Amino acid sequence: MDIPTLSTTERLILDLLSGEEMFGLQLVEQSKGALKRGTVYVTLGRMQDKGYVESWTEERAPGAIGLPRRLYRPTAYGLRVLDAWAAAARTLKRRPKLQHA
Amino acid sequence: MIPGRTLHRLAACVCSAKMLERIVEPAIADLQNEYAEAPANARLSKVSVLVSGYAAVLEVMAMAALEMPAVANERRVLMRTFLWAAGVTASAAGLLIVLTLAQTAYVSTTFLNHVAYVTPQALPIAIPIGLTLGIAFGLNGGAVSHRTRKVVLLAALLASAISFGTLEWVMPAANQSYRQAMYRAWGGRGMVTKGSNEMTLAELRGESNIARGQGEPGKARWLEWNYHLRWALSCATLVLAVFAFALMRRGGTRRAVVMAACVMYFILLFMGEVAIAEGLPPILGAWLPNLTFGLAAMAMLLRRNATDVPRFG
Repeated sequence: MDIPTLSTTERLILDLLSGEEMFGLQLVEQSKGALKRGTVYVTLGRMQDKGYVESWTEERAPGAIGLPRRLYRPTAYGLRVLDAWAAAARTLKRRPKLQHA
Repeated sequence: MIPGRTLHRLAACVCSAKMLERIVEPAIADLQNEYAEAPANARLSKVSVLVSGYAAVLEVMAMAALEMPAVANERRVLMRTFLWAAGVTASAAGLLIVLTLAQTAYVSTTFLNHVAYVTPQALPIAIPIGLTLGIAFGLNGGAVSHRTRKVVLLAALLASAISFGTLEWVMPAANQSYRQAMYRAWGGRGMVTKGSNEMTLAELRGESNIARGQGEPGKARWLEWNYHLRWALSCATLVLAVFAFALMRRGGTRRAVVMAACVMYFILLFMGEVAIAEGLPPILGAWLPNLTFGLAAMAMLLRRNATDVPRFG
């Protein structure tokens, strides 16, 4: 059985998207510098291939110029993977050593 | 103004449809939206948006191109190869120019003039490195069609011709103009005597004969080496391109080997220069790297043909 991987960047993106669907640039702004503008789109593309997020182009008003922007949201599978990794992180977190009197 | 249109057209040439739709177009769309939303009267803000937006889109395109699997579309493969070649050539030339200018005192002429004077001597070295690495990185993965191979080899031939023109006419004139300008700036009068890098092929041959007639065999051999070096360096692009193709296997080039070959080429050139003082014929000293890589390429190609395995689609 292949255990799905989730990098730190992918975890952050899923965290941000779990609140609301966003455009790529909004993810960069909301991440407060953790996500880079040049790499977020490549990561989102990879996450789509893995099935963690899905995307669609926005509806444009008639006569609008330029390319339609792409909105992203997590899939149910992506949220399950995020929850599983969060649970694993909590379980594996080292407890502080007890101080003996 | 709608930013990103040219980049979109360029990306359509080098990226697959899937990469374009999923990765590049969202980046361009966000740039266009950000530019449209920037305050109309805040010129600095709009410029800042454009600079950061374009940089991001170029980075996205480079990452998409590097992650691209083997593509069947010849046009995209060729564009990718030539973009890599142009980028590496510009970087190599830039590095050589910086290294040259670092040893130069700036006197009474602008920095751009200095760059213009020394650029021609950097190009014959940067061009073979650029196209060879362009082949190694641009043609990665998958089979290469005969047509793609032909176009790239034609480009190598053209690049060799450009190198020859630069070495024979442009570099000597630029070098001599530079030396003359620096000499006059330092208060000198009259004409500066030409060194070997400032002579044309005919002048090198003539000076070599004069040196031989005056009983200076060492100087004659060195000038003769310089003469043959101009021809050899001109052919370097074609020789290294054939070598890079010969290294290609179905599934990818050996990039590290190609990069090492570029370094080895110039090491062999230096060894040839040293060896002529020990008696090696100047023509052999100048052509040593071309002969080495040319023979290696022929051996690889003949061996592949002998095993009768189809390599190119």
